[in-house]
Amino acid sequence: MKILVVDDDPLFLELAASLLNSLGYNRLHFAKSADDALSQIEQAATPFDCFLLDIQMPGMDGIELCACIRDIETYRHTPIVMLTAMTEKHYVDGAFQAGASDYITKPIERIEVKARMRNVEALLAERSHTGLVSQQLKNAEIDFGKSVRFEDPVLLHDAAWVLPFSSLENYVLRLGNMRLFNTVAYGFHIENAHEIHARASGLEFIDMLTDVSRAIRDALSAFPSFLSYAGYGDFCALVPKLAHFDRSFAQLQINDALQLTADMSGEQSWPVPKVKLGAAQSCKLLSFKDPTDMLYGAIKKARRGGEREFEGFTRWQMGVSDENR
Amino acid sequence: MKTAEARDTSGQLEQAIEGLRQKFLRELDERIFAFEDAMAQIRNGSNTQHALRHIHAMAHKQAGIAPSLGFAQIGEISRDLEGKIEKTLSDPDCAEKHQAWHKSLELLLDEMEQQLPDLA
Repeated sequence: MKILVVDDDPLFLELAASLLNSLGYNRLHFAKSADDALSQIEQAATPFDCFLLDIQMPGMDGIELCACIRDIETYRHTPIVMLTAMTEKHYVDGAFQAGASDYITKPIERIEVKARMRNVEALLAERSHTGLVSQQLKNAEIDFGKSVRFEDPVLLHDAAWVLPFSSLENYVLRLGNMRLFNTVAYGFHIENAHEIHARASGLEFIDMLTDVSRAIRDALSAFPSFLSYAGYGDFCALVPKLAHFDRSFAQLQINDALQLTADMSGEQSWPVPKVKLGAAQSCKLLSFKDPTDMLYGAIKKARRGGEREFEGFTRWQMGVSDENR
Repeated sequence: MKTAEARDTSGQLEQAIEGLRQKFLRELDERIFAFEDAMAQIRNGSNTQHALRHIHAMAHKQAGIAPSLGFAQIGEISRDLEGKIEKTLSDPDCAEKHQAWHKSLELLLDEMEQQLPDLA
């Protein structure tokens, strides 16, 4: 794996080199600034497979650099891991918004670097798998339908706003008690995802998930939020607790958007996805529970009935026809 | 049970970290001098904001590396100093905040001096 590590502290670069070498990563490149990194990226004969970026650097910081790298077509989906101190959590939010895949806290420890690099490898493997599937479809025009498993938390390559689920888990694990307390999770369950998976090809299923993620993103656009796909037709979003979020309206908005997308795309062999939005799942202050339980709790709530158990109905449940909308 | 290869890798890492630790110690007097130089600029009233930002950047870097090299206390005080300077930069007229980072810097310099190879 060809890795570019960017940090303005030469001693830290040496430490990162030693740790990564000890984990078996030997194709390492180093940059002491964002400009140096961009120059190396431009001149690289073979592309980098992964980036480790320090957030606080003089001149262009790691967040801006992350956004610049994401703007380069070759690196739209390349794992970018941010390096940050515990006190810089507020920067982490910005980094995820700029397209970061994950982050490691400083001071770095071998065990954490190992865990995050495993995550990077999983992302690369997923990317390679999706790329292969797409290529197969292009070449053979065959129905490769079940190459995407229903349970897989697949990466949505055309939806940069959707984080890998493992990154969302890492994010809540590192939030700290106060910020965790001020954050809530919402689950979004595609009620007929299983049926769509059975009737659509793998790529079509991913396209459907991308459409759903876009509709959710638009419904959450008024708040800073993070969205992730967990597999099984379940999405999970983190939203500030104080955000005045009308779930009933959001569910309606999401399903209307999906109906509109289906209307515009013409004939398709699978039904329009129907999304249920669950009640907010929060984490108690000073709770000893695993913070990731919040994500799974939110998904469970969405699966249990979503908005129906609270406000009653939405347009798709009422079966409102086009002419009445 | 560890394999011979795993033991070898672990030994190489320990050796590399020890090398970096020694390098950190060798550069410690330069680091102390850089902090003191920035402090002197602030005392003289020349380019105070710039000097304060410079101390912040040095504390930030040190907080990110020192604990990994076995200097947990230096890392902790550096992180504390970094936070206190951030507060001062956002409210530069507050004398209490200035006192707080001054105190933190003095503590840090004491700790760094204690780690200097010839004084240890």
